[in-house]
Amino acid sequence: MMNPVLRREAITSLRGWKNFAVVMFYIGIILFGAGLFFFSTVYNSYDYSFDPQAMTFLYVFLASIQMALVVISVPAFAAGSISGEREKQTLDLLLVTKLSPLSIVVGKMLASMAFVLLLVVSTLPVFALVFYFGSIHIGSLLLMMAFAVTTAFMLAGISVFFSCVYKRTVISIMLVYIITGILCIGTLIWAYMPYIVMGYGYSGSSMELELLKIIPNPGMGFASLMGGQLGVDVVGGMFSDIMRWQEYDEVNTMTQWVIDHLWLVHMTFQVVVGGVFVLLAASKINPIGKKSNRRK
Amino acid sequence: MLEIKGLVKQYGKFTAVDHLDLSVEEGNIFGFVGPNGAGKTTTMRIMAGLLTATSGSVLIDGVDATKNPLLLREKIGYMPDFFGVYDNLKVSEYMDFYAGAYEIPYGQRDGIINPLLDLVNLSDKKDVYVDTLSRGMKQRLCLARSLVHDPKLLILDEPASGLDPRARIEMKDALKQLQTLNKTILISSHILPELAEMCTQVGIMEKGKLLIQGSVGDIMQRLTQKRVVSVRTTGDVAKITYVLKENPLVRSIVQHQSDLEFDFDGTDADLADILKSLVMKGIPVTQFKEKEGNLEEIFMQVTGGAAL
Repeated sequence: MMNPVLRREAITSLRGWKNFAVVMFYIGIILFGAGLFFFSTVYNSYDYSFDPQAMTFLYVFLASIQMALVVISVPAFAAGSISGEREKQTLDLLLVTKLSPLSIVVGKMLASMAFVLLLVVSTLPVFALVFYFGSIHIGSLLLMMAFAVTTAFMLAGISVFFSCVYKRTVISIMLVYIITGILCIGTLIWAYMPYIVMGYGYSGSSMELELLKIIPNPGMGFASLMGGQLGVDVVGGMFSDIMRWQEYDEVNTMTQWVIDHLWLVHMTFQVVVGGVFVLLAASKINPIGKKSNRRK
Repeated sequence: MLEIKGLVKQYGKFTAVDHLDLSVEEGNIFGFVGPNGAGKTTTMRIMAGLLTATSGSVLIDGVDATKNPLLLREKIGYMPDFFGVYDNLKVSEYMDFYAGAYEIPYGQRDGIINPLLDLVNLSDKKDVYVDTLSRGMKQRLCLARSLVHDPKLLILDEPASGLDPRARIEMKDALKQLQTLNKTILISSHILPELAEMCTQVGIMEKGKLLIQGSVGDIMQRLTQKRVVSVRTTGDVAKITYVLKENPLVRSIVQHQSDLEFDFDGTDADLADILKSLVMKGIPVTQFKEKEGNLEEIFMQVTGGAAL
């Protein structure tokens, strides 16, 4: 039986024309962007030439828009999921049913991810433009979609947790965006800080330490995935100074594997972090087992 | 059906429920009466598994509410004092959602939902959006929702609060229907006369303590140690007064136009004798009945006049 919370959310959110209009508008924007890119980059009107290789950039361009959509939209939808139930005074009614706190949290989380993922999936036909010229393998596209799903899962998990902790949706949204900012920009600054302070050529760090700093970064994970699909060593290139300083034989096989598959390590990180936050969220709304309850 | 022993709920130094003992037999309607902040809602939320108790035990049909919450949820139907509804959801979908939440298979849902909507008089609103219903209808819908899994015990926290007189009557009718289904009901209300009429037992709570519990009649008798009887006649009221004054079991006679009330210390047989003697004296008696206890009076007496 389908999760009742997810089923109800699907009924209420997909009813009417508004969400349909949002999907159409988003597809329109993506199509317009792709068309503009296609005619400005791939098709050169100056000498009537056509560069199929440039289609790969179109793929990266479209994939980047999808990722930006996921990173920006999922917290906005998910951070109000449980606090919204509390504000509407419907949470108690859910908690007295046979639904476990975990299935309530999962239902709400999947519902908040679902619309964003619907937007992502609905633009797949636009990606057909890329396939038409055969620049990208379909497996690469599926991997990119899987990356979008795990990113949405992690952000939704964190958002739902804050939604359980704070009664007001605004606070939850703010905190989730701060954390998203720390993950996307903060970790990058942390990793690059020695270079900024000491200047290029700084070699006082190790590759392993730098990798640990950037593993939580969704942007780096995505860049690593795109780089891997297009044959560009994004991570190795970023830390080339350290790579040079730290003799190649010192970079062990494991580290090299992580450098080559940072996207996979990051996806695993996303699943684990998302899962932990979902469990924490479930325990947070579970009325039984708490040592103390706040006075109503 | 319900057995509460030594229930305590503390928030820091504040004690919301203070060693509460309560027992309600199957099929009874128990009315919880008390001023705001007496601990009624806290007690009901603990019973519903929404709060943990500091100490004590709550047994519902043999299930410990604090230790087996999943099994507890099958046994109870809970209606909170304040609740919201979902936008964009029709009445039938609302009921279907909660049926799903109680793991009722799809195929059985219509057979459960339709009679429940009939019970609360909302059958004609099946395809109406729940957020457009009046407050009274929402209350009745919530009552139907709490019954979707056929619970043995219904916990209703202020089900008639904020309703206009007509909506109250409709809610009361729905509750009377439930009485016929032999449900055990625990109900809190500020509308004391309505509780007195419906409840088989009442409990008066103040400052977290259950001050007194029993049937309205019993409590009245325990508190006042007297029975109040009302007599109406189309004849001369003075003649009734004369007859009553001859009976040593009758005390303080009060006249209200064609009615009079008297306090009585005897048994039912003694009361029958009084009626017989009135009739024998040729007094046209049109009404002769023992007055039921007035819950408001009891409440004021027990709580020392605390405001509801």
